[in-house]
Amino acid sequence: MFIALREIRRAAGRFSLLIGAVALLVLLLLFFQAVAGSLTLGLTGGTEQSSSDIWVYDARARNNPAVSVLPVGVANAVTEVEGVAVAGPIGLSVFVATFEGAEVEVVILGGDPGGPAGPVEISQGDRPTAPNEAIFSVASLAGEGFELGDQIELAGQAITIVGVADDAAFNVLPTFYVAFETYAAAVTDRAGSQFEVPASIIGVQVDDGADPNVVTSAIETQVSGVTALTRPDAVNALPGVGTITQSFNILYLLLYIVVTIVTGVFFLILTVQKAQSLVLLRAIGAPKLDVIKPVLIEVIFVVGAGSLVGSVVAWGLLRLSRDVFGAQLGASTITVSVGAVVILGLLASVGALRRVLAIDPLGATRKGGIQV
Amino acid sequence: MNTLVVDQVSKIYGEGDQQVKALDQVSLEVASDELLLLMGPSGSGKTTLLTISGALLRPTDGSIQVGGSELTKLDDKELSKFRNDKIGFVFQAVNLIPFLTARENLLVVRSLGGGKVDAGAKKRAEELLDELGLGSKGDNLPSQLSGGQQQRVAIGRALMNEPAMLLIDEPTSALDSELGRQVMELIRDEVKNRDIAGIVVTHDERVLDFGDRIVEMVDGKIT
Repeated sequence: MFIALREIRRAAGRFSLLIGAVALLVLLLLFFQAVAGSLTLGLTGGTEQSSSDIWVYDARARNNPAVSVLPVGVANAVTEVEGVAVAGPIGLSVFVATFEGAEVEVVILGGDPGGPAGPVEISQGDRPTAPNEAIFSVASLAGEGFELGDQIELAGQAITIVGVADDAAFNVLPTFYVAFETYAAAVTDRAGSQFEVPASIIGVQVDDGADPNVVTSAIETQVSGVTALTRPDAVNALPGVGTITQSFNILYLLLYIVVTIVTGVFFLILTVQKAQSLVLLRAIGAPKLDVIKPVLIEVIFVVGAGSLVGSVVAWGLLRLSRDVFGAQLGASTITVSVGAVVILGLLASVGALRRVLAIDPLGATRKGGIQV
Repeated sequence: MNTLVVDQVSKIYGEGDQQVKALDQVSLEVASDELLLLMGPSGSGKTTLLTISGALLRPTDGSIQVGGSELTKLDDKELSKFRNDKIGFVFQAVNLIPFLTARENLLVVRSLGGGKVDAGAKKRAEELLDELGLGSKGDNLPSQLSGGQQQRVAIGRALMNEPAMLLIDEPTSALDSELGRQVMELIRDEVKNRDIAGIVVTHDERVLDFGDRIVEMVDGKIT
């Protein structure tokens, strides 16, 4: 501690630069994670928050609710399967609605908002009890825009928001949970003709104690022309989610690699630069631990301070841009990222530590220089 | 009473045809409060003898005792501790840590091996700096000190842990005559006042009168 603290104090500029570099990388890392989290949640939130334990698709739809088309009657066939408590049709489509005179793209999810079609929880208001009522959920990246009591106009129907659900949007768009009849009316109005509107998927709630995986297999066996996925599998199967996750994972990986290289190279250079001091310490009787400890303390100080600064700046920036950007950081995201950066920083210092351990105290007696 | 007893010590570097005998059955005794000047041409084995006596290097053969402790029986860890506790080194090339002040260069000795820089250590560092004429330079970094002042700080650092033996390699090689004599005077006074053994390796014939005894080495042997 004696050596490390004094070295940091005397080389404040050098250490500040590295702390700044680590802070910048942590800021980017957390910012990307917040964006990716919000983007992914905007895509998957509706499925994750669904009251359904299982989603049943048209077998040709490749588990994509946007292209799945099932006759409403399939819900009755699904209800007959052992382990199914409730099965109901769910219609899902993007519409252009009118709000305060302006056109706005919205997702309409039609079904029983109190049954498998509705979100698990609502944070404000109540669940709809009439065809012209809706639960609203917003994708954080899409901004706010709608509040409890607001009305949108869809296919000549005035729909009033009576409840709000958090993080239960689809397609990163404002999402309205309405009765299936309301959805069907919007579909026929858009088509310009009357026909029996099919469901997109069938939402299933299983009996208490029933295993959704077992029920899923039973549905696929007993109902022809469908595929069924448990809710977690349905989330992963949503189109675009895998690609977005993979793209951001590559970015995270690159940032982690850069943190490791920057920290490792800095401490390696530092170790080479102060080789004479380390040789002297070993020569006058410092045990190996006494020359390793300052390096470790400095690594923890640099990555710790850099992570702290990066986290605070990221949190502040995201908070400032909340109204326009909507992305947020969770404590667990920060903790995991900072923990990973600290561990990588320590791993990066292995090269410097190996150099320190290889120091020959006899080098202090050589005139021509030090070998480490 | 002898602080250092070197008995039939040999040191061979390399193997096979590449072998070089740096020390050839050297025996030497240095008493407490004795200042020994070790002289000889380059490559005669002076620095090897100094480093073996200071527990920095193991001999190939023979026995080394410092303050009654047999150094050849100690492992690396014990040798480190021994150097910190019993030996005061002043090297020719590397002596001060550049990012520590003069005072901290003394105090760092106390922080080694789990030691603490307590009030006692701070008091001793101040006393040593005063004694070495550096009372007002305690907060200066080595780069802010002259060559002579740096050499005095190094002597202070070597004395910080109250060693049994002071080993100094070419203390005057980078100093002018006057400064060289001042430094030698200081070393002699410290050895006498503290009742410790001192060995100074030197080529400088201007300072020969400071030693109690002069030992000359040629080809790894004491002549």
